[in-house]
Amino acid sequence: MALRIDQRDSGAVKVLDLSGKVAGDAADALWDRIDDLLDAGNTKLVLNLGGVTFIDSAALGGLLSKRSAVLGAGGKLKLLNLNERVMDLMVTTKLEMVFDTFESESDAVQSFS
Amino acid sequence: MSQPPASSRRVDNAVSTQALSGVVRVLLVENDPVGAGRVRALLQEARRPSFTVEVVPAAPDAVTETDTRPYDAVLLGLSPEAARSGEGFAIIRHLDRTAPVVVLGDLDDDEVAVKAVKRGAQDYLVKEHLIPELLVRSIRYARERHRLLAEQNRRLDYELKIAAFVQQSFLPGVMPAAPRHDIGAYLHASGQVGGDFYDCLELPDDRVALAVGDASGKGIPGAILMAETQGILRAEASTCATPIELVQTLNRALLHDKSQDRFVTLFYGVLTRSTGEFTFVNAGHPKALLLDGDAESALVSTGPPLRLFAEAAWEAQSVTIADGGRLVIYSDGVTEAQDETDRFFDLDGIRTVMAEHRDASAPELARHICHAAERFERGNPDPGDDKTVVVIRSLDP
Repeated sequence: MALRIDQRDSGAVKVLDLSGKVAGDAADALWDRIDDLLDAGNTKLVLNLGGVTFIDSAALGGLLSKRSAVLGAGGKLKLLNLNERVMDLMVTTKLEMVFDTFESESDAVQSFS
Repeated sequence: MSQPPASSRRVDNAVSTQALSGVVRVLLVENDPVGAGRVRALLQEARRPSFTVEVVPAAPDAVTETDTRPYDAVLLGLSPEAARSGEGFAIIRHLDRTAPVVVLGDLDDDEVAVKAVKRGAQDYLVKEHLIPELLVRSIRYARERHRLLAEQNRRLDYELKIAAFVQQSFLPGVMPAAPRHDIGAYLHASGQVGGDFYDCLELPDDRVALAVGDASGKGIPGAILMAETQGILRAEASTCATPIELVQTLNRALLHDKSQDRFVTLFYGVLTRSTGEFTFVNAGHPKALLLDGDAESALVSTGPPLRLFAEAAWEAQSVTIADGGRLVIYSDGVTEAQDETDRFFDLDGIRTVMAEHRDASAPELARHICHAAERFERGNPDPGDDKTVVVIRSLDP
């Protein structure tokens, strides 16, 4: 299953609804999209992982790198709706302390203000 | 949408349709019929070569079209809206797998043009400025560059195969003999080069060190990081007094460059043969399984992966591998193997194999687990990850 990315606005925050696997070459589309958003001056980003079944370790590295890029641009990258497998990966790698993760979209969006 | 491996698609494309028919087949992606007619007219004005032009209105149709029929080039019409939102570029990478892509844009904007080229387009031409000579020359150069790239990729594939042989030689050929403990390992490489490794080293005082690691990132970057990690581990293991000291030393050494996108998960443990005590640090690696009869315990992560944080704290834990007990350390490629319905092999897959092979030796069990995970994902068109399993079995006295 490929990675599907749907983009929408929630106030000044850009929300990317992701579904499928964030893994392998398919993840490049996500990095490209985040780069495009940053290029266009959008730095408040929420990745909604509600439809994501799986993130591989290379993509986890990619997420870390994009988190740094967003921070460098003066913005923030938040993660929303992590399923059990993705949360387990975050706990195993202790990256749940690095990423801001949310279970509610309104909490995620409000955390920018 | 499942795709055949990129390399085989590139090879298919090497058979130019022009070579067969003398006509250059062009796919034009354009939703404006007037614009499409104009491009068609421009190509028909060209004396040589002659072109056939198929027109599809939208990018998804182009994907279906190039997946089913061979084209020599794709002319991708890019509306100002698609260029500004950035959504028009995503398709280029996909189309480029089968044919060179030349973008025809409305905007006379260098930034848009550069972005198109960065995403894999061979050229960006402004629709308003199109003349037959320019368009024909651009298509000719695009095809030539695309062909050269396919040739380079084939050469690279060959060199990667050689690299994979070299990488295999890093793995220990023989596991240390241990009268009371049977130790075995198996690594199934998914691609040409990978990021998984394992090692087993004799230490002073009748101890033996075991490591299973996974460097993130596929291909060459993962392979180089894996080689670097294993090299440092071998050099430092015998001088580090404890697993924590080894993990800290490795982390410091790997952190010399600051890019944060690649890391190494490592399970490192030291077995004291005389007592069966096993002291480990799990640096962001999947939990290992210890089975003692029907009792199971998980040796979970005790700190982050290596090469992410300069100031990280790892904890060491100790367990005893009782007589008859089995410890299984594996890489995520085993549990994350997915079948054609996207189910995961998971820990249950490992448990099933362990139950089926209660009396298997450690090397046999390691091999059985890897093979079962590999068979499990065979129906899945997506390539799987490397699979590594190390097993320690404490023999009944």
